[in-house]
Amino acid sequence: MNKNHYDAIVVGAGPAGSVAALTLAKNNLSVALLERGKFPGSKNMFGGTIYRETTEKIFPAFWHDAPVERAVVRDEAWFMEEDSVVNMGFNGLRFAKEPYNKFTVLRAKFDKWMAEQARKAGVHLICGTLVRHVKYKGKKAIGVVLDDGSELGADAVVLAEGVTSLLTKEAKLRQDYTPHQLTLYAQEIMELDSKIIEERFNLEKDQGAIIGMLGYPTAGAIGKAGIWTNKNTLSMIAGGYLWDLMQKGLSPDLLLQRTKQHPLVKRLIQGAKVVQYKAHMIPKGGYKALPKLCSDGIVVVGDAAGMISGRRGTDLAMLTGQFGAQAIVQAKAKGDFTAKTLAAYANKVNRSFFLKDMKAGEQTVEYYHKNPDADYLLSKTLNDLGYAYFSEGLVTSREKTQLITNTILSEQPLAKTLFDLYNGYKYWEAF
Amino acid sequence: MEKYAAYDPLDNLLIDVDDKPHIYIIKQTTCGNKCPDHSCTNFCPSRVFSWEGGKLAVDYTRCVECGACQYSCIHKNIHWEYPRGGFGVVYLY
Ligand SMILES: Cc1cc2nc3c(=O)[nH]c(=O)nc-3n(C[C@H](O)[C@H](O)[C@H](O)COP(=O)(O)OP(=O)(O)OC[C@H]3O[C@@H](n4cnc5c(N)ncnc54)[C@H](O)[C@@H]3O)c2cc1C
Ligand code: SF4
Ligand code: SF4
Repeated sequence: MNKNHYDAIVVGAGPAGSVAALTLAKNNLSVALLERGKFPGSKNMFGGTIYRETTEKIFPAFWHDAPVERAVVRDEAWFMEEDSVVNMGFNGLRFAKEPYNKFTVLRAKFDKWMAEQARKAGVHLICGTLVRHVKYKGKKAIGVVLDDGSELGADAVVLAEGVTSLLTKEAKLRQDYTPHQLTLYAQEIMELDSKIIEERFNLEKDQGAIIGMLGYPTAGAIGKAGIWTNKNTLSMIAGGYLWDLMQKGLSPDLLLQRTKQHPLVKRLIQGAKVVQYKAHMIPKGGYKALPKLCSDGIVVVGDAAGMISGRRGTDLAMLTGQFGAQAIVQAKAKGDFTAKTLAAYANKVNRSFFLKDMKAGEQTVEYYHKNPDADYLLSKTLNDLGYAYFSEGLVTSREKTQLITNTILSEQPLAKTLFDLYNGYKYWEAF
Repeated sequence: MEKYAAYDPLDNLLIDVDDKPHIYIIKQTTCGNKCPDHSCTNFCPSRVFSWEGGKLAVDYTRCVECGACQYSCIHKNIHWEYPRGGFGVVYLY
């Protein structure tokens, strides 16, 4: 049944939008959830891991019902060179059972499932529909204009439209992005028998691993690569900062192909059949680049609101979706949807733990802009050290120590090396 | 990097192409006169742009809608919008 007026319209059925819509419907508001893709998830990409603690707040014990792939028990960081890897990791078998820590998922299945939970709670889910514009009366948003020219009215509009966020920009809530504020990644999803995945990655059934890679994959550009194990597929990504890719004439899909050729990566993915290619951006402007989070009749949530901190994205999307919806529920009770009432949302975000993290992470953004070669140097130094340390030769351990010191000093002045080692370690997880 | 160029990402992609283009170049002469690098021909992850016969060619049917080009062209010379609802890339995984 199509109506033409709702209490709230949510644009975009990613994690932010589906959670916002679900929260609104549970509070008895009438809600339309509009998605431009043929189905929720059909336009979306991430590494990816979803985080149990946040997801569970919204979808209790979701792992019994939701299409999760594997429970992650191992996280590794690979610092890579041409023919070597320095590898740091953590195995936590406690994470293989309840309450779990995080799960790998595939977005085309998982986003669909989340939107389905919203639909079951009474949300009117409409797919294959693009919102072209927000409609205003004076300064207040009063609905949306769809791509066929038809209109839907609403007291409040939730912009959960992801990183590209054309409507947030049109509403003048954010400035134009610069290529310094965005990273661009390519992805391949590769089919591989689940038994082989478990053998190669040293996992039991239903257990998963993540490998984050830096150094070699990006050929001197600032970026990362990574592999996630799913049930019977592997998700692999590579990419980096847009300005850096532009400057170096690189594309993320070439970085991905290069990473796949590394001898130590090759053996992990051997025989796997590529079944899906994707590409997507991440808003990486950090705290300083955050848009305005609300205006009269509008709240902006998830990636559209720049809510990314390190490797966290889907969880912040869910939380901001929930916070934004709660502010609209209060506004409905007051019968006042002005920016002043909706500011309850912005205030809640400002007080949150993740905004504090983002403020702290501000250094990461600056660090990489000032030291574009940091990851590469870090990885090279570590691997040279690895060869120096583990080579069995005819030298005393005293001579060996001297050799290692020389290795560090030969790369660059010592102070910068130590600084890079420390910072590279600290920031490696910032995809 | 050249050795990977033979690979075409579109081999593993379903795109339900809209008959109406959603990308166009605002001023061709800008590409020719003011943009020696043609950086859009490099970073686009599905090779929508190419420099052919002194013109920037745009094959919108290849676009995976990552959204990067509109923010990357230093001359703001790319008009980009979403394909109509239901059209464009369909990720199945
Ligand atoms: C390479 C990569 C790796 C990542 N890895 C991780 C990870 O491991 N873990 C993690 O938690 N996060 C990760 N993220 C981040 C995470 O994917 C995002 O933070 C999250 O998807 C944001 O959710 P969202 O709902 O705000 O936006 P999206 O998921 O982008 O959803 C937006 C939705 O809105 C729709 N839409 C947009 N405009 C319109 C319109 N005008 N009309 C109708 N519909 C519209 C889109 O089709 C889409 O479905 C990663 C991201 C990338 C790119
Ligand atoms: S980057 Fe912009 S100006 Fe340069 S060739 Fe591409 S579209 Fe033209
Ligand atoms: S949106 Fe992305 S894939 Fe499409 S043309 Fe622009 S850069 Fe290429």
